[in-house]
Amino acid sequence: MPTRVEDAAPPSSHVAAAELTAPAPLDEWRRSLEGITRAALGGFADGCLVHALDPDQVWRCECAFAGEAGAERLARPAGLPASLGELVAAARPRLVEDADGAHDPLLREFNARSLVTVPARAEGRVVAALTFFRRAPRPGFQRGDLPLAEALAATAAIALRNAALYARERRAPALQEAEARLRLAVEAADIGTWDYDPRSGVLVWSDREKALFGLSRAAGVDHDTFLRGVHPDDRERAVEKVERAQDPASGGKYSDEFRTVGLDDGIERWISAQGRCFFDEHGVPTRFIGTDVDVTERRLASQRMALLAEASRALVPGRERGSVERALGVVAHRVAERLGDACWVALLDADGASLLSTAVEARHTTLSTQLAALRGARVPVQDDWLGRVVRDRRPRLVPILDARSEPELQQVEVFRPMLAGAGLTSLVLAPLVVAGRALGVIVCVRAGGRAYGHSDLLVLQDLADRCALAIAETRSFHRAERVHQQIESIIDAVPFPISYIDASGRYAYVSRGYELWFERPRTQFVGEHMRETVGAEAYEKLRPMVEGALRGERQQFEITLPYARGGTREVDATYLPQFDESGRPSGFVAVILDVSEHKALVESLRRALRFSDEFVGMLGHDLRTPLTAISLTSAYLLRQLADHWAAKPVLRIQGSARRMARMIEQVLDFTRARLGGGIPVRPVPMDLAAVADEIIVEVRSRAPQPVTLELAGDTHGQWDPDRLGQVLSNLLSNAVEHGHKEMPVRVELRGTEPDSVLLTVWNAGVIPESVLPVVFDRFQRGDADPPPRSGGLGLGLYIVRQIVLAHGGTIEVRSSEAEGTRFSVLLPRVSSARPAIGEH
Amino acid sequence: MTGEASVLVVEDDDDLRQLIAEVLAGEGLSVRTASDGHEALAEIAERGMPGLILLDNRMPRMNGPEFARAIEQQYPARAPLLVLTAAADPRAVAAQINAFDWLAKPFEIEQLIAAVHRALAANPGAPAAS
Repeated sequence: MPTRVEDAAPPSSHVAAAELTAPAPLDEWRRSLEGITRAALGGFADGCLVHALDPDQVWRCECAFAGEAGAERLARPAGLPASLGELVAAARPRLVEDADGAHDPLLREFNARSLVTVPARAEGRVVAALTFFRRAPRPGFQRGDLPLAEALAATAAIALRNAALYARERRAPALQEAEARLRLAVEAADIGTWDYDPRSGVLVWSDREKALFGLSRAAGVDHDTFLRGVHPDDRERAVEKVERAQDPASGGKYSDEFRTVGLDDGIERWISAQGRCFFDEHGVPTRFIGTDVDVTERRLASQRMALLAEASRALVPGRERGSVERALGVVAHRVAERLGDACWVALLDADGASLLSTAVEARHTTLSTQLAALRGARVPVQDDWLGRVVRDRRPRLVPILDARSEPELQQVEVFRPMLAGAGLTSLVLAPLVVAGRALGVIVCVRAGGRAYGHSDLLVLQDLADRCALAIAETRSFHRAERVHQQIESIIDAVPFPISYIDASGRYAYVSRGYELWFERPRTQFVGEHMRETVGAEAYEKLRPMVEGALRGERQQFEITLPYARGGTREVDATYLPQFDESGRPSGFVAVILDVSEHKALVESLRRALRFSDEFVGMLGHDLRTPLTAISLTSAYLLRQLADHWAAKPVLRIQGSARRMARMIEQVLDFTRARLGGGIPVRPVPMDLAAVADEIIVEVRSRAPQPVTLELAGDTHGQWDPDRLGQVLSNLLSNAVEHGHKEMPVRVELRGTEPDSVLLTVWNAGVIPESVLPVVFDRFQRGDADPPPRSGGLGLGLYIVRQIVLAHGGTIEVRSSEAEGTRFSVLLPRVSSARPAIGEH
Repeated sequence: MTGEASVLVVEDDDDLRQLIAEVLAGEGLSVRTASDGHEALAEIAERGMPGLILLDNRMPRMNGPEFARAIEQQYPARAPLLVLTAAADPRAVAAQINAFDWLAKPFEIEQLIAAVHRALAANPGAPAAS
C-alpha cells in the first residue's frame, strides 16, 4: 500500500527533484474510496457503499463487504441511485434499523438487514454518501450508531476532498505543487477506527489503526497500548482529552491531534483523532468510538511552511556585517527543529576551494557530539560526494542510508563521525545557488525516525534559495557600502570642497572640505539651498553658472566671491552636470578650488623674484665704478713702475679686475634677459667678418694655440655688432681655454646662403656627454672638472644663446672624441626682431 | 696756463675721481674735480666753463642728467660732455643728455686718454679755462 513518501521512492536510490513520479490522479482518489470502505468494515459494519463525486464531478461508487477471506470488493456502476439522490439533496442521514428483508432496494441488493446512510460534506455541499450495511445475524443499526457513521463520513469528506485537490493539482503543470499533491495523496486513505468499552476495558482497533501506531495486524491492543503508542511529549494531553470525553459534562465529543511513536516500526506519525463517547442514563460511559487519520504529511507541511516563513524573517538582509552568519545560524536552528534532527550550513570561500562551516545545529546531544567535527571546519572542495554536489549545484536526497549510499557519504571526511554507530539514517542536501553560482550548501540529517522524502528536498531547496539570495544581497550591499566608503574617503582626502547639488539647488552631499572651509558640520549642509550657505550676494554672482549646470551644461569659472560665511575668496569652480536615467539633468557636482592664497603666494613670489633680480642688477651696476678704479689704478701703476719684478702682482690685480668685470657683465646680461624678456639687440648693417677679425686679434694675444679664420661668401647682415662680438669673444675664449694646446682653434664664416650666415667655432677638446645637453643652461660650465681657470659664473653660453635667439638665430653644439667640439650659430641676415626667449 | 685745455671731472667715487685727475694731469691737461652736480655747478660758476666735462651718470644730490639740464639752462654754451656710466645701455644715456661721447665702466686707461683727446680735438672752440 503506497501511502508514504519513503515507500513511494525506491529507498536505496538518491532521488532528485524532477525524477520522482506520482501515481495517476484518479487512482489516488479511488484508493481513498477504498480506504474509507475498509475503515468501515472493522466491526462497525458488514458492508460499505460509498458514492462520491470524482475530480471530474462524476458520481462514482465503491463497494465492499466483509467476507470469509477479508474485504471483498464489489463492482458497481457509476452514477447515483435515485434513492440516494433525495438524501443527498436533503443532506440528512437515513437509518433503516431492521427491515427484515423489506422493500429497500439496497437492502435487497446486498442481502442486508439494516443500513445507515450519511452524507459527507465539504465546503458546504455534499460530495459523498456513505452507506453502511449490517447483515444478519448481527443486530441492526440504531440511532446510537449515527455519530460514528457521521464521524466516518466527516473523515471521508476530508480524504476525498484532499484526493480531489490532489487530482486537480496533479493536472497543473507547476512542479512546486508536487509537495501539496504528495501530502494530500498520503492523507487520503489513512483512516483507522477504534471502539472502546470503558466498562470492560476492551479496545478494538482496525488494522489501519494498528498501523497508525506502528503495529502489525496481528498485534493485540489494550488501553496501555494506546498510552505507550502516544509520543511522550503529547501523552499527558492526549490522556486528558480521552478522559474529558468520557465525562458526561463534555457531551462525549472527542477531538485531538498527537504523535504516535511507531511501537514496532519506530516511525513517528501525526494522528488526527475524532470520536464520540456514549453514556447510559446514569451518565456512565458505555462506548467510546472514533476514527484516526494520519496527518503526518499535513503536519510536516505546516512545519515546512512555518520553517520557510521563519527563515524568510531571519534572512532579511541587514546592514551589519556578520548579520548573514547570524541569520544562517537561526535558519539552521529552525531547520533542526522543524525538519530535524540536525542542520549544517557551510559557505564557499572567495576562491571556491573550500566550504567554511557557518552553522551547525542539532536537536540531540548525541548527534551534536557526532557533528562536532563540522563546527568551524574548513572543508576542502574535492572530488567526493560533497564536492560533486557543490559542483553540480543540484539537491540530493538520501532517504535511507544503505549499502549504496553509505560508501559515497564515507568519502566525505567530515561526515564520517556521524555515519559511525547509530548516527545518520537519512540525509537531504541543497546547494545555495544564485545566478548559477554556488555559494555554499545546507545539509539536513536525521538519526532514526522518519526518512526524508521528496517534499523535504523541495522545502530545503526553497530554503537554500532564500538563504543564497539573502547572502548575495548582503554581500552586494556590503560591497556597495565598501565602494561608497572608499569613494567618500578619497573625496574627503582631497583638500578642496566637493559637493553634489540636486535639481532644486540644494546640497545632497558635501565633502569634508566644506566642513573645513565653512567651519560647520557637514550634516548641516545637506538639504540646505546654496543661497543660504554662500549668502545672497555670492549666490547672485553664481546664479548664471548654477542655472547653466542645472540645464546640463558644464561650467568652469574663476570668480571672486563675497561669502556670507568664510570671507571673500577667489575661487576656481567646476560644475559637472549629472543626469538621471532618462537623460534629464538631475543636479551637478561642484568642485571648488580656493585660489586666494595661491594667487597671493604667486604674487609675492613674483615680487620677491623681481626684487632679487633688481637688487643683483643694481649691485652689478654699482660694482662697476670701484672696479673701474681698481683697473685704472693698476694700469696707472704699471705705467709708473719701471721695475719688472714689482709689475707682476699689479698684473695679477689687473687680471682679476678683468675677470670680475666679465662676471658683472654676465650677471647684468642675465638679469636683463630675465627682467626685460630678453637681451636687447640693436641690429645695424654690418660685416660679421670684420667683428670676427677684431675678436680673433684680441684672443690670439693670449691663446697658446693658433686661431684661424676661414671665410666663404658674403658675411654681411643686419645685426648688433657689440652683441655678436660678445658671442664670438665668448665662444673663442671657451675654445682657447678648453681646446688642445697644440691644435688650432678654427673659426669659419660661411655666407653662401642668401638668407643666413653660418658661424662655426671648432676646437679639439671634448665636452663630456653628461654636460652636453645642459651646456646652454644657466650656471653651467663647459668643463666642470677640472674647474676652469677663468672662474666665470657659467653664464657665458647661456648669454650667447640669448643673444643668438634675440637675433632670430639658432645655436647648437656637437662634441665627440673623434671630431672635437663644434659650436654652430646660424644667423638670419635680417634678424626677425623676435624677443629673446629668456626666462619663461 | 694758456692753450692748456682744462677738464672738469665730475665723479662721486673719490678714488676714481682722483685717479682720473692724476692720469689726465699726466697727459698735460689742467684738471678740476667735483664730486657731484652741485659741486660741479659751483666750480663752473667760480672758475668758468672747462674745455671738457667728464660726467658720471649716477651721483648723489645731483646726478649726470640733472647737471646736464642745469648747465644748459644756465650757460648759453657749454663744454662737451663725456659720460662715464655703468648703465646697461651707455649709448642711450649719452644720447639722452646730448653728450659728445661715453665710456662704459669699467674702462681701460688707454680708452680714457683716447676718448678725452678725441673730445678735445673735436671741440677746439670749446671755452677754455680762463
